[in-house]
Amino acid sequence: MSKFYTFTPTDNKGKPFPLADLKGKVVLVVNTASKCGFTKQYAELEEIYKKYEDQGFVIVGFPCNQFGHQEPGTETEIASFCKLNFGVTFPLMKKIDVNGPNADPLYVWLKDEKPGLLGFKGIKWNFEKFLIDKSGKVYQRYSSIKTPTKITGDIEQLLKQ
Amino acid sequence: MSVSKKEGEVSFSQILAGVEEAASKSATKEDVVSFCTVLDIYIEQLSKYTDDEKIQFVDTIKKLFESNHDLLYKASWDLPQLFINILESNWIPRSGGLRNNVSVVKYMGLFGMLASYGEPKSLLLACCEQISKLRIKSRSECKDLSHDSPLDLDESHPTTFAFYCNFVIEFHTLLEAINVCLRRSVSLWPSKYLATVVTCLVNFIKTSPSDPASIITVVRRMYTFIRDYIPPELPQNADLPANVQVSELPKIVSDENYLQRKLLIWMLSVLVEGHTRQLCTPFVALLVSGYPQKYVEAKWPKLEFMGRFVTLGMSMDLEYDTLLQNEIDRTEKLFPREKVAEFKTSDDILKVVIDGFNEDLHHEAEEISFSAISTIILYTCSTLVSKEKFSTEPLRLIPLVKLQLRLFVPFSIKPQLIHYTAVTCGMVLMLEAIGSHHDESLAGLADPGNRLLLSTYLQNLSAICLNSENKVLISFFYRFLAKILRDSSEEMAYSFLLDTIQSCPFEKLQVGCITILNELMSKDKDPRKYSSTLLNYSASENARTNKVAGSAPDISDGVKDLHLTPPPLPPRNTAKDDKYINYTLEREKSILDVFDRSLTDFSKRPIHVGGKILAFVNLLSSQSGKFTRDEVVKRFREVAELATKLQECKEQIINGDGQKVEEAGEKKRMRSYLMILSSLEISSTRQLPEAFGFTRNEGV
Repeated sequence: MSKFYTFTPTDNKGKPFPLADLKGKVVLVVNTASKCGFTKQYAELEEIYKKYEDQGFVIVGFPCNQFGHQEPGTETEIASFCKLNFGVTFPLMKKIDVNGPNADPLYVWLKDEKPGLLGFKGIKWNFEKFLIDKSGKVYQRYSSIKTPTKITGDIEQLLKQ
Repeated sequence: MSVSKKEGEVSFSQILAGVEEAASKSATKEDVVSFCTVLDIYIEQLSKYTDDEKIQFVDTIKKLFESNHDLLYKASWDLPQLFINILESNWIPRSGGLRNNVSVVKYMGLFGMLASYGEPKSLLLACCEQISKLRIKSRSECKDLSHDSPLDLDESHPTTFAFYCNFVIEFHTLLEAINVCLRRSVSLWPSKYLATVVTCLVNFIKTSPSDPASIITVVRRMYTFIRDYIPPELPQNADLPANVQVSELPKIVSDENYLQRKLLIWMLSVLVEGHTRQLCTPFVALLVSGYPQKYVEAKWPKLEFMGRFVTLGMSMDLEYDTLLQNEIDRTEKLFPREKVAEFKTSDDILKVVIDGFNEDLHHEAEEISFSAISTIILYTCSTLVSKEKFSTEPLRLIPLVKLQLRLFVPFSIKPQLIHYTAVTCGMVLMLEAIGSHHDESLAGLADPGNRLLLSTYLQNLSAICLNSENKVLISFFYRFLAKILRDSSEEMAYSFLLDTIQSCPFEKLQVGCITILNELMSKDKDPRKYSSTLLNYSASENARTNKVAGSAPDISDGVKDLHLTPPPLPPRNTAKDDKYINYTLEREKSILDVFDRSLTDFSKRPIHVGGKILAFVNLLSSQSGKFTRDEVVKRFREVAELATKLQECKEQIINGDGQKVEEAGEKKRMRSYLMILSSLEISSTRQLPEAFGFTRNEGV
C-alpha cells in the first residue's frame, strides 16, 4: 500500500480526513492561498473537479501562509472566501506549513517522492500541484504557473488506467 | 518642438532617414558594425531632441529591427550598450512617475525585442558586462536612497530622480534580457551560463559603489530571478553533441542540476548578506526591547522582505538549524576542549581564529557554500520572527561564543567584512541561549575554563560595536555586556571590567565599564533577573507556550506587538548583602589605583579622561558606605582642586582676561577644561561632600 494512504490530515472543520478513503481515486494535492496572483486558479480547479469528479477525481486543497503571508485568514474565512468567490466544493484542509521544520508530514513525503525543478524538494510558491494516481503513487508535480486546465491530459490518462 | 538647428546641422528627419539607410546598407553588405556605429553617433545626439522626437527615433529603430531580425541577431553584442545610451540621453521625462510612462514602456519594449530575437549567448555576455558597469551616476546627489522605490523619491530633485530611475530600469531590463537568454540557450550544460550570470550578479552586489543590495527594487528583482529560474530545455537527442551518448544524459542532468542549485543558493546567500548589511539598527529595534519603533518603521519594507528570504531559502531546501549547527561543528574543530585548556592569553585564541580564517578562505575558493553570516541572520529571523520551531536542540551559549569568535574576529583585521546585523544577531542568539538553557549557560559562564574565551569574545565584540558609531548598537552592546557579566562569575565580571578600564584603548568603553562596575557593585543579586532576556521575541518562549508555527503571527504582527518590557520590581527584602560584584579591600585599592592614574592623565588629556573621572566620581559616590572614607575624600579633594583650577580658567575667559591664557598657549586646552568643568559641576562633585557628611566649607 502506498504511504500516501497512511496520512490523515485535518480538514478545515477540524475533522480527520483519512487519505485512505481516497484509495482508487486520482488525487490532485494543491497548496492554496487567498491573496496570491495565482488565486484565480481556484476557479479552474473547481472546474476540473466538477468535470472529473464522477470519474473518481478528487482535489485536496491545503491552505498555506508561508509564501508572502498570502493566506492570513482563519479556516472559516478561507472556506467562506473560496465558496463566495469561486464556488469551491472540493475538500479544503486545515492551514499547514509545506516547507521548513514544521512542514506537514504529507508534504514532506510528497516532496521526497517527486522533487521539483533542479531537484529542489521545497515548494516554491502557492498553487504547486501533485497528481497522485489510483494506487497512491505520485505521478507528477506541477509548478504554480501550470494552470489546472493544462494538466487535464494527465488526469484523463490516470483516470483511464 | 525641435531645438534650434545651426546651419549645416542635419535635421531630425534626415537622421531618421540616415538610420534607415544604414540599416538597409548593412543588410546588403552584411556590415553590422557600420550600422551600429551610425546608431551610436545618432544616439549620442539624442538628448538634443524633444521627447516626441526621441520616441519617434526609438519607434524607427524598433520598426527596423522588427522587419530585420537577422540584423538584430547579428548586432546582439553591441545593442545593450547602445540601448542604455538611449536611456542615458534624458530619455525619461523628468516629471511624473514611472508607471504608465510611455518612454519607459517603449524602452522596455525595445529591450524585450532584443531579448527575444537577439543571439542569446552574445547577448547574455553583453548584458552581464553592462551590469558590471552599472552605477547610479553621482551617487552623492542621491542622498535619500533609503527610499524603497524610485516612485517614492522626491521628484523635486529631478536629476537625482532620473539617475536613480535609470539605474533601476537599466538593471531591470538587463536582468530580464539575461533571464530570457538563459532560457533560450539550449544546452546540456546550462550551469556554465548560469555561473556567468550569478558570478556577475554576485560581483555586482559585492563591489558596486551604488550598493545595489540596499535598493529594494533591485533586491526584489534578484529575488524573483532566483525564485523563478527555469533551466533551458535539453537539446533533442538528434542535436546531442557527438561525444555524448543518450545513456549519459541522466548523469549529466543530475550533475548540472546540482551545480545550478549550488549557484542559486550561493546567490541567495550573497543577496541576504548584502540586503541586511545596513539593517543593524532596525534589527536591534525589532528584536530587543526598549528601542523606538521608528527604527523599524523606517526600514519596514526591507525588514519585511526578510520573511521572503526565509521562505525562499526553505523552498530551496535550506535547513537553517542544520546550517548553523554545521558552522558550530566547524568551530568546535577549531576550539577542541583540550586546546581551550591550553590557551594562556587572548593572543592564543586570536591566532587560532586567524589561522582558521585563512584556511576558510582557501576552502571558500574550492566550494560554493551558504555563508555563515547569512546563516546566522536567516536562522535568527526564522526562529525569533517567523517562529519556526526546529526539532534540533536550542543553541548553547559557549559554542555560540566560539562561533562568534571565529566569525567576527576577522572583522577587526578586515573592517570591510564587518556585518553589524550579523553581530546583532549573534548577541540576540546569546540572549536566547541563556533563556533556553539557563542553568547550563550560567555554569558555562562561571566555568574558569571558559573565562579567557569569554573575555576575548567580549573584547572583540566591544571593539566592533564601539567602532560602529551606531548609537543603537552601542546601547544594545552595553545592555548585553551588563547582562552577560551579571550572569557570569563574580571574578570573571570584575577582572574583565577592571582590565578594560585599565587598558582598553576605547575611552568610551572604559567609561561604560566603570558604570557597569558601579551597577554590579551596587545591585543585589536577583535570580529572577536571570530569566530576563532583553528580547522582544523568544524562541524558547514559543516552545514553552507550544505555539503552532502556522498560526504564529508573522513579522508584521510581531511589530504591532512591540512593547517595552517593564523593569522588574526590586526585591522586598534583602536578607543577605550579596552583590554581583562584592566589595573587598583589595578591589578598593585596585579601583582607586586606576582612578589615580586617570587623575594624573587628566591634565594631559582632559577631554578624553574627563568622562572617566566623572564615572569614577559616581562610582565612589555610590560606594561611599564601603570604600575607606579617607581614601575617597582624598580623591574628591583632587577632583575639587581640578574643578577649582578649571573655574579659574573659566573666569579668566569670562572676564575677558584671555591674554594670560593666550600667552600660555593653552586657550584651546582651557576651553576643553571648561567643558569638563561644566560636566563636573552639574553632576556629582557638588553632592559628594554632603554624601560624606561634609559641608562645602569643610574644604572638600
